[in-house]
Amino acid sequence: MTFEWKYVDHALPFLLEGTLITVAVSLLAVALGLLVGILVVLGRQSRFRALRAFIAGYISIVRGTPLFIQILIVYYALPGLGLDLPRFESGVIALSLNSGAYISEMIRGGLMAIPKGQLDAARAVGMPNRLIWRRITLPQVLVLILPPLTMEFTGLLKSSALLSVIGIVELTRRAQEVIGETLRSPEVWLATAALYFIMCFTLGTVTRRLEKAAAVYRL
Amino acid sequence: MPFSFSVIVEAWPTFQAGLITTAIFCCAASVLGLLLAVPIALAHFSRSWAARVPAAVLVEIVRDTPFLVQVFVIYFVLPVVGVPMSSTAAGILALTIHGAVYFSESMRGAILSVPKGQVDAARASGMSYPLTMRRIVFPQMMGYVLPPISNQLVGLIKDSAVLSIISVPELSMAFQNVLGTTFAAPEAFVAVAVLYWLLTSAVTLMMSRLERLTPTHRSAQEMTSLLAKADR
Amino acid sequence: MTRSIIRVRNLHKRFGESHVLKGIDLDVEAGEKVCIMGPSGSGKSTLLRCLNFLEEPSDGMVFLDDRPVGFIENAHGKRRRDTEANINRMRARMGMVFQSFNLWTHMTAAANIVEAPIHVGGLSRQAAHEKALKLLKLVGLEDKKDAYPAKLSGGQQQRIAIARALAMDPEIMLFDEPTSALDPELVGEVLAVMSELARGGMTMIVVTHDMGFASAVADRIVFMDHGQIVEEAPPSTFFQQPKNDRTIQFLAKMKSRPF
Repeated sequence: MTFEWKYVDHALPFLLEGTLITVAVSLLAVALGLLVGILVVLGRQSRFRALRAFIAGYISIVRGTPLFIQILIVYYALPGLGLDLPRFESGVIALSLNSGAYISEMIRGGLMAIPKGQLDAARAVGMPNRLIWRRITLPQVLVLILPPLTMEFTGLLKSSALLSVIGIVELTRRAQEVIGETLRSPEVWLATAALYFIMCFTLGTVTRRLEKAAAVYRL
Repeated sequence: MPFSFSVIVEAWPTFQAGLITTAIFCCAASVLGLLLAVPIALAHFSRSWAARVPAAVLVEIVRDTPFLVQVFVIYFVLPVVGVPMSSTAAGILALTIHGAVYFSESMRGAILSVPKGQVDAARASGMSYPLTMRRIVFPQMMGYVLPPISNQLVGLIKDSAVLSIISVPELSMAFQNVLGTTFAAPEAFVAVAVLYWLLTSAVTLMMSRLERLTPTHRSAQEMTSLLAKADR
Repeated sequence: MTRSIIRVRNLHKRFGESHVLKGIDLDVEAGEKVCIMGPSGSGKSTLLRCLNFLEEPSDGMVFLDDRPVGFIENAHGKRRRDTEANINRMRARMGMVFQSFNLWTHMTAAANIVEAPIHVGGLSRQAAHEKALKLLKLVGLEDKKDAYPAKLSGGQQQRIAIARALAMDPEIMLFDEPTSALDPELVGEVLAVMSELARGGMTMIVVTHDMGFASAVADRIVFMDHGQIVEEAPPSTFFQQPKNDRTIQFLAKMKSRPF
């Protein structure tokens, strides 16, 4: 059989629409994931043992079970608990909860990477804690987590493919729809893979540049 | 609505079958993947670009595309170019290649972590490249390679859930079946979470046993700088 | 007339844009002790590493006993990289001691010394271990034969490294700033071993900052700056009557250190 690439031409607009959804979902998920990550880091320092235990449990579950299962659970199981969300929101939430656990580790890592000596120096000149956080810690943490955050975004672009299973019309789902119409599955899958590759490879280059820039902060 | 264990008990045969299939797929893919990873990792250090370029291209492609799409490409595109494919074959092949690429990156990192001076001394003594790798780099690299590979083996187990999409009857498909028949989401989730946790814990335990058997032989200089970093 | 063990002809080395060695010509005779000195970045280490082909020269050639090191010239006079086996054989004839010692950390002192003789030289385990014991005695560390490098001081590690380099019976010993990474009180024990080696007639090329060692042991000092050999002279002439301006500047800086 020969590859008939003209079908790719025909399919491309649909695939590109799917790409937009892929990017949208991933952006939302990384933003919400950042929020979740911050809450987790704060929550871990709470006085309430129940909260700390809950957070530890949440992280365990998210890191110990497949993302695929997490997506299915959020979509199919939450209605049982009274929270019936449309598919797009379910997908974003599942991805955010997953990312949040990993992002919280990045934030923790970023905080630890700031040499304690800098905080000592700030305290020695009489800076109040609020100011130390705002002028010393936060700016450095934000810069330090930018590379891993970008990597997480790239990971989300790939993970979003799983959302096809719950019917969200991102790139993979679009590919499946186009194949349903044209029955040219090899060409479409290769084109789809190429689109993901272009996105992720470009982001990978950006991440590497960011890492070099962030290294200046690290001594 | 109370949590009913009986649901899990009744559904156990389904879960058990899925668990065994997942275990078999992951074992096969891990072993094959680790074997495949070695030439891929070593290719990066070859002097000829005929070895470096294909390896780099393979690694980049596998790292920059979703696993699900890799599975689809293997399942749908290969038969068209003459390679017959069942869902089992596609599943194991996809998992193997995906795993091999990530393992090879861990191995590459571990090789690069061995201080260059160790290799310099070996080459200056007239040791050939294969001898240097075998006697000097490999023993020292073990300490650096086991932790990332342990993580990646866990990742492989979680990735295998995706294979249910091409109808491989593994654990996440069992989960979907039980969910579909009983609608008992919390029970089904707890059961499948525990089972995945068992699989990943078994791997982590085995790997940490291995790690204990391979001392890192770090030089006094390295230890000093590591300890200095940890002090921060 | 003594023959040249090492001949360097028009050696150039570029790393990307940076032209580190700019046409080095050097002859070292059997039994000679040559010290290479110069400011950082002058290319001293690069030159040394080109001698045993740890760095591949961009242009020019090194000859060991009249045989080209690392290159084969084909019929048209074009050169290409020699076979790995030949390169390794050449390297085995030269011993190298590194600034960071580079003892193999997963092996004991004795194991470090016997590794190359057994696996490269084809010596039996028995013979290799006997030799190792002799060399350990030579450097004064027989009691450390089963110690791992992590447990040894810098000076001890470097002395074992010297023993390791000697284990292959090299024709020439190359030293790349052997004492620069040592705490001051450990420098003496290493220099003592090197002086002993020199007295025994070994051909030595030593890249060093240590002017005391150079004046005491060297037959000739080669001064490098910015990738070229600027001046060559026996120690007395070099230190007392330097001719070149850059040499004079360098020596002035070295002498003006506050301690």
